[in-house]
Amino acid sequence: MFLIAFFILFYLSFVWFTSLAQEKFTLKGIILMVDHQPIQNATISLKNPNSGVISAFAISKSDGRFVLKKEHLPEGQYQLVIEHVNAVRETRHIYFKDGIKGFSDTIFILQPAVKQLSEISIKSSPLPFSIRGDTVEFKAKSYKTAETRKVEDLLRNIQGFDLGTNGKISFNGKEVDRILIEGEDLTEKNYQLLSRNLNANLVDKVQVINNFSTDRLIKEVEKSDKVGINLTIDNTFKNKLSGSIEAGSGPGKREYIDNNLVLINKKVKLLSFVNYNETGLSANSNLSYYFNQDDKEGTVAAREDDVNSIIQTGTIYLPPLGQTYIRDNEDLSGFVIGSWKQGKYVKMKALAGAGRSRLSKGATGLNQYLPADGDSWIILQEDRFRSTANETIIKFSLAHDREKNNIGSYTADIFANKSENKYGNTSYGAITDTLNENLKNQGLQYLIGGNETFRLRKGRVLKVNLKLIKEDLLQNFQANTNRYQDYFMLDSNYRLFSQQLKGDLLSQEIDFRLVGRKTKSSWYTGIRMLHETTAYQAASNAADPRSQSIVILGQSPSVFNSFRTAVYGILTKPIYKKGELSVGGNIGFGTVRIEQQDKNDQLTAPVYRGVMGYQYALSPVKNISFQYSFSGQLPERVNFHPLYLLSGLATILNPAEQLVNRKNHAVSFSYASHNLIKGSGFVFYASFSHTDGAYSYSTMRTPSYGFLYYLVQNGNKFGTANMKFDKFINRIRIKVSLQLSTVVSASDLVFNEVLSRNKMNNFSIQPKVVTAFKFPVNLEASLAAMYMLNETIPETGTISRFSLWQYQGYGKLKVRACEKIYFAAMYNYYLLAPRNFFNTMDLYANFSLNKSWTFSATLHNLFNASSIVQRQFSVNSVSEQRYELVNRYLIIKAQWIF
Amino acid sequence: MIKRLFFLNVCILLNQVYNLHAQTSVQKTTISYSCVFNVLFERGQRYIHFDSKLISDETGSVFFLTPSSNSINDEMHENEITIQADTLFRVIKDFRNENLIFGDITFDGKEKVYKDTLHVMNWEISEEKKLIDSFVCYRATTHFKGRNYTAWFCPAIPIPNGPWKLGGLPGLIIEAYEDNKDLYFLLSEIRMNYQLPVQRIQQNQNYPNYNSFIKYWKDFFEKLAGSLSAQENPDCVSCHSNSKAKAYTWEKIPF
Repeated sequence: MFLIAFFILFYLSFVWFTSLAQEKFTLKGIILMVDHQPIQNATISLKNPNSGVISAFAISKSDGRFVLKKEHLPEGQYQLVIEHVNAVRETRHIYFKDGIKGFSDTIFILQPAVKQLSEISIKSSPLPFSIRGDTVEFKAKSYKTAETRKVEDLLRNIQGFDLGTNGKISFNGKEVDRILIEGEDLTEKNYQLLSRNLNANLVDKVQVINNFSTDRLIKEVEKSDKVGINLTIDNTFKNKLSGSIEAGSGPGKREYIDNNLVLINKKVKLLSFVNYNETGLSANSNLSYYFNQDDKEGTVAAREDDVNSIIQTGTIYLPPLGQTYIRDNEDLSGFVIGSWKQGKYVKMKALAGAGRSRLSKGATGLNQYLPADGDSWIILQEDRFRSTANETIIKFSLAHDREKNNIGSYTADIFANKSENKYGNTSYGAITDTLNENLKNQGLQYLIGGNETFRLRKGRVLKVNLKLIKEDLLQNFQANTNRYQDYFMLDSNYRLFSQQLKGDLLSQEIDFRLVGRKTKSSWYTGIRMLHETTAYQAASNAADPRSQSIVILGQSPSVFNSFRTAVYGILTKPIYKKGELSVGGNIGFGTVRIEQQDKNDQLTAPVYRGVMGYQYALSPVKNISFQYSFSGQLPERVNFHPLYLLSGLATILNPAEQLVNRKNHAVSFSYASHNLIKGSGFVFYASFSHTDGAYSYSTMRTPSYGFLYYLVQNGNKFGTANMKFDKFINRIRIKVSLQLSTVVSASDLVFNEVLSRNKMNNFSIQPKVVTAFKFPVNLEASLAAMYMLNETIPETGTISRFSLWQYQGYGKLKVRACEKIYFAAMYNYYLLAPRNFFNTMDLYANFSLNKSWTFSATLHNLFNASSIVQRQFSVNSVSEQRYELVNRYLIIKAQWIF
Repeated sequence: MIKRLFFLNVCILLNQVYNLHAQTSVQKTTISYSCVFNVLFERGQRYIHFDSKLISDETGSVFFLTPSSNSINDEMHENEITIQADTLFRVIKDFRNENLIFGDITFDGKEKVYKDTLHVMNWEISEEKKLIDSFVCYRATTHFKGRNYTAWFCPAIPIPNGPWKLGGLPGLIIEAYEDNKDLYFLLSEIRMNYQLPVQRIQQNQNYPNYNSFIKYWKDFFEKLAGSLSAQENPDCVSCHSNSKAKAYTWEKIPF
């Protein structure tokens, strides 16, 4: 019996209950394997059988014993689950009644597991970014979507980046200075060549570098407040010729070609971009913009518009509808950018680019003018505009660095442009006239510059900078119209007007800067000299085509000559943890001389600028700054040109006649903070400036013509405030954003000989919602409401006041059918004029065959909307225009990445 | 005869027991976690990626971090000293004796080993659950050594262990992080029947306890603060120093 009992293995499973009424539940026991060996690290869980939620748990010790406790266990059914990685799961069902204390001395015997836990691999990466020192690094792959094509599309998806409508990029409220490729500064200030052209699929990482500086020696002593971006190329595209080519075609002559070629290795970096499109996109991205980028930091004279924008034809100011709806275009552009090492210490860089663009626009509408004297009038008009432009740019630079105490670089740039604008206008109402204008521009700009930086004793650095610029301009303007006759008191036969303007600009600038550091403070000081000469020669005449007689309207030269010199200095001192205080400015003198027809004038005056700023940078993604500045500057050349220049829409332009110093006070405040983990961010910026002695256009306007002339005004005020807030709500996987902005300005002007005060207020609010659900369908929606107010208060006469609310928004449905297929439908609506609701829809589909091949189809303007109405204000006038839109089209594209 | 039979049966039984035990011995596993650690916790943000391994068998486990291959050597800011060994956050758990030993990098860059209690934290399990990859994970929170931690554990993987000193839940910790996500772990791989060869610390030695760890750093900081205050003018007994020293430790120590 004893032997039989000894050899029989039996399960012992009994419990006994106590009837003591206590709230605390305790389960004590022991876990044994079938051989009665104690099991350590077995998990004992008390679960809700329906939801699986664990109410209490315990882990068995080395002797197999465990104690499971729970305060306030509610009455009900529970599941007791005992598990071990090498044992079969054991489950018991328990009904717990109030008053039951628990169980003790329970024994659980587990059977060994037959099937082992299989190996596991989880595919995920914890964070798509990292922060190291001054650099924030983003993994590009984490921010790409099916619709990400170019680098600027990628940057738009990354929190902290903001892209302006002009393509300017800022990060955390600070404007980006440069975009590097693999640490190489190929495009200098012209980074839009990369951001708008480089295919985002070639990019591996986006590194944002705070305290960015391109000068190795200056970086050692001075902390820069600039931001740079470095793009690293995916390793699969390096050390061989790589890139992408995308081509598309659709009915109605819609064609598209986009090509990127990249060759990146240790010795050479070469990029080329070619783009041809008839789909409303601007291919050449404004080549002249690239040429005119300049370092405006602490300049003696701030650069204004370039030479060749004085005479314009009439033009059509487009509503904010998106280029693909408005531009009826044919654009072609190409760039090649490269850098290579010549020997051990010399690096060469070259850029060559060319662009050709064709653009057509059309609009109809009315303009109402309400001068203060009460004589208002209405003109109904039809406009047509067509432009063609050809631009070429060549840049070459050489840099040397022996990795010791001297570095330097030299650059030579040439930019040539040739364009022709044609404008046609038919007017009814206050006047009846057909106007045709033709403007031919030819420009050639040269730039030669160089700088040398030397490390001196005591850790100081000297930088010498020299720049020479020459610009030649030729503008030929012709107009066929009756509108100038009233001004020039000609009879109606003289319909043909022509204006020729030749311009010549020469500018020389030299700058010596010494930079140093003392313990924690940094300083720089220097002297800068700028000499500019602008000479114009203008000739205009009117012709009677029937009698072939010509009336000379004027021949006038204009010369603007200025010399300015200033010494400058800034001291930056850290205060209170991560704060920095900067105080400094410049002081000097300058002379400006103008020679215009029958009038010469000269002004010699001091030039000065004072600045005080405080900055607190808690981290690369969190900073606060405040700045106050005041300045006194001499007049700029852009306000001085020949008298009585004929320009578009029967406008006669006149230059400023007085030489007056411009005085300015400005204050700005910014706060930016981003939590990249939580996906939230807040950016706030506000600024206000007050200017006396500013030149602004005043107008003498009649139904036929407009006479514009510069007058010096005091009391110009300009204020702006922007706020952007976004937050990702993880629980519901939705990102919400809110953007508010406001602009206020007030200035004096003269309209039809009546002195007036003009005030403009703009306010906009834009909430936005983007979902990031895990299932295939996601949504995006945004609504923008804008309020505009334009008020002109004359000294005498009737106040004109216009105000308008405009609304626009979109809703987007995104469907990812599987890894390879993506659909999107975007619905846009606009209310840009009262009672003129406008909506459009675009469809997009994308199929990724593999990593190399992608096919897409775009159906644009599904509703085939033909026009949109917008109301706009100007001083004492309001207009309502109907703009022609690009017709519906379908385009199918294929992209190959190699 | 009966005695022989008895002896034979005992041998058979013991053999079966042995075979059962052999079948049921805990597998050797190597569990990999991706880790991100903000080395400037409480002062700023500088996130560094680490690879970490949790290697375990029936007696215990070893955990450590190594800098990820993607990490770049940082430029150091002035007034900052970073001491970093090849491996960080080394923790060796002894399941049988219910203790753990951990390595701490001292000011001179050497590792000093201390003893602490195994899985001493009290976990609060909530009803919240989520899917990580295909695993149903439940949320548990605890306050441990001065910081709040959240762990998502998977009861379907009945290994009551986790990265670093975390563990003691009825399932393997798949994801764990401190409230501000200055320390973040995410499981990336489990390899069964595979144990990465790793140099272990001798577990039988008499290591100092956690109080010694606290005492070491308190004494060190007091000496450092004292020497800084003396630096400005060592001859001037009554002069006041403007130097301020502040210490930041991941396991909060009351300085």
